[in-house]
Amino acid sequence: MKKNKISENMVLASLIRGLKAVRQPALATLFGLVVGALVIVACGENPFAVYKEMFTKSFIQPFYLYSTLTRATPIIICAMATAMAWRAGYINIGVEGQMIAGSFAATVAAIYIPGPPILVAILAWLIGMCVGALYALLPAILNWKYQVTMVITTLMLNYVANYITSYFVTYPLKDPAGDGMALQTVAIDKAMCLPRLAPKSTFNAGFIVAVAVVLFMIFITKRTVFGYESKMGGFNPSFARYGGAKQVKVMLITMALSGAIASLGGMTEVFGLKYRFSDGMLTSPSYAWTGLMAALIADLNPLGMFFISIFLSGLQIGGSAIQRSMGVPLEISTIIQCCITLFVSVKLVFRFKKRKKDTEGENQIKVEGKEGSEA
Amino acid sequence: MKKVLALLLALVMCFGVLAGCGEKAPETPAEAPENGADTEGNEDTNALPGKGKKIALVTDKVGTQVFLVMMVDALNEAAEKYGFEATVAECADSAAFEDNMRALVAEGYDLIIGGGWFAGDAINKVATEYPDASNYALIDCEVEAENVKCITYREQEGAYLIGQLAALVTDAESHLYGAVHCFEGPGSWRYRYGYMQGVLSIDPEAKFVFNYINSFTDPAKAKELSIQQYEQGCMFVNSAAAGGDSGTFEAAKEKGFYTSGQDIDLTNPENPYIISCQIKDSYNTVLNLIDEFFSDHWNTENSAWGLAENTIGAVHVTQESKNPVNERLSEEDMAIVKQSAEDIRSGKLDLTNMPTEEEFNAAK
Repeated sequence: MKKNKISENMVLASLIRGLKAVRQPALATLFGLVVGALVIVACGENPFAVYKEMFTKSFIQPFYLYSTLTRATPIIICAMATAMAWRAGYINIGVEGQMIAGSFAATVAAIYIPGPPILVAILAWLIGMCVGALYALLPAILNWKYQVTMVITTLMLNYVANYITSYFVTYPLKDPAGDGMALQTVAIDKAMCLPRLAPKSTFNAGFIVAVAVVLFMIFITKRTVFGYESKMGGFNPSFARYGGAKQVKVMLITMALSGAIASLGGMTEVFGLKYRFSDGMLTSPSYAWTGLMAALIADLNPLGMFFISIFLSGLQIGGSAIQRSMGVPLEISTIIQCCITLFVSVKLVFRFKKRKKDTEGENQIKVEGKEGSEA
Repeated sequence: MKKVLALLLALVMCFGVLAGCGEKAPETPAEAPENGADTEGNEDTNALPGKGKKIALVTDKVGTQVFLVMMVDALNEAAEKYGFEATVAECADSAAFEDNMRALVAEGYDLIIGGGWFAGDAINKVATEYPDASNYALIDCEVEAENVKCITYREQEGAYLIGQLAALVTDAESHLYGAVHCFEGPGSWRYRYGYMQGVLSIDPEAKFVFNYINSFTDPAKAKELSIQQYEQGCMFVNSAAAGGDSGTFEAAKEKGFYTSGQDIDLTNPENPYIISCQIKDSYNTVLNLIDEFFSDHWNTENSAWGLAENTIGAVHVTQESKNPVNERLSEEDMAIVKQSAEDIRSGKLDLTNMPTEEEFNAAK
């Protein structure tokens, strides 16, 4: 409790705290890279050469940097959506489902609503966010009315969203042109697509949306009563209630915001990259889960999540680059990524044990939830 | 104390990872030297037409997917023949296809081959955006972009042979024939049409039952459906269920009906009920494709390859197998089917222009 007290005007204190916060993930990253190096050695390659190639072709050369940032866009937004709910103590692991529901609704709106493209696009984004928010409200209401555990409902609703949209793109909304195997809607109007920001790459305005979401997140957490109330609710529900926070209202707003942000992640992918909704386009790259990993590694710190998301996405881009040019198995990047999360979660276990000793029961739900969902 | 314990645990895990990897290790270097040999080049390779060229195959995770493994083998063999630098870009997820292709274009590849329908959308987009940056080819799928050479298969030709075998092996004792497919659609229609025509050419009174498992990897459902078809009276169930085939085979062995598999030779001495398999030879496809690329008549017109191109066939008919022919298929029976294969190859039996499912149903 002590170290998390909000002390806004103490710049120095926050700097030290920042350093402390960075230390753990940095160490975990280092360990992850070491484990990766061991695996590379076991595969008979030189780890330094492989890592050099991997980082040149993910962060250093502009073309690859743009690819990394493009892939990071939905991951950053998903991390924010996860953090929005988690910091309030609501273990929302349904970001994937909310993202699918929202972006599917937005795509359908963009395709079938007539009118000037710009207006339709704005309308489609609003509809998408509303649907994402409503989809996230579903587990919140179940939790409020019937005390159904949110971890389970949010997780299960991922599959519901995925299979329902899968049905729609396979049968009623399938693009009749193109190969029969391709399960996808028709493409949206070119004028609605997000503009590209760099030549010869798919880097698009979706990244600006992601940055805006990060700023919004920082603003909400640091500057608003709602941000404070939701955070308190996460730390200590009974204290928050005692302090006069309206818990149900806070829960509903938190979940709705989380869902709305999640759907933004899917929409940047649809409007900025794919220009259509295809079956499995958001589940197969596991954007939501990478975002969740980023949120965990950065301990729900918005700025931290922003950079960790970019780093994880770079690992994936670099991973396929070394597979292409050096024949190193693609799984190297997955191994590194998972080791980092693993080493960070070691910290969580320590903290959980320490806290349990200090203050029996407090914060238990939050930490337990974190551990549970990593498995 | 606890930290030490954690560190120890982490170390143990690292070694666990290493131990797991150690066994696999020989796999990777097997590919690597080949690449190395190509780039080094000796006096002979300097004269090869592919010297200095780069060809990439973009595909799903290869692993044990035989259709893909054969493509990779063919690419490496062609690389030896022509001396180009071969790259296989495996894609772990749907977004990676486009990322990889864009990167390959940026890295200056001369030919990018999309290996399978999952690469279709990505290659379509990239080829439209950078029409002059590279040459594009796509296997087993068709896309709109005109500068992509799409290779599809005339699967109906192989299915026709399987249909004939089906009618011959059961001696038309039951006029009901079954088939278990992955998905209902134009892709499966080519198989169904060929199969029906093949059966009908021997057994004109034949009736058919088709079921779909709606997945590429569901042996349990394939087994269940094929048993149902058997109970309805099918003595032969054609399995075109990808990863689900093993389920049909298991059912065939348990119940004693005949069946056939898909894509590669899956006949098995342990299971005599698998009488043949329809071959879809991605190995020859890639070899043909690269031959064409280095010939002077390379163009991007789409083509459909079949028996005549040695990319489609049936086990025991167009290719030998180390496993024996089922005893219910006599020499005369096999001669009939081999004759049909010959007729298809020469064009005497034309299965190229087949009706769509709608047209076929309307005509009935």
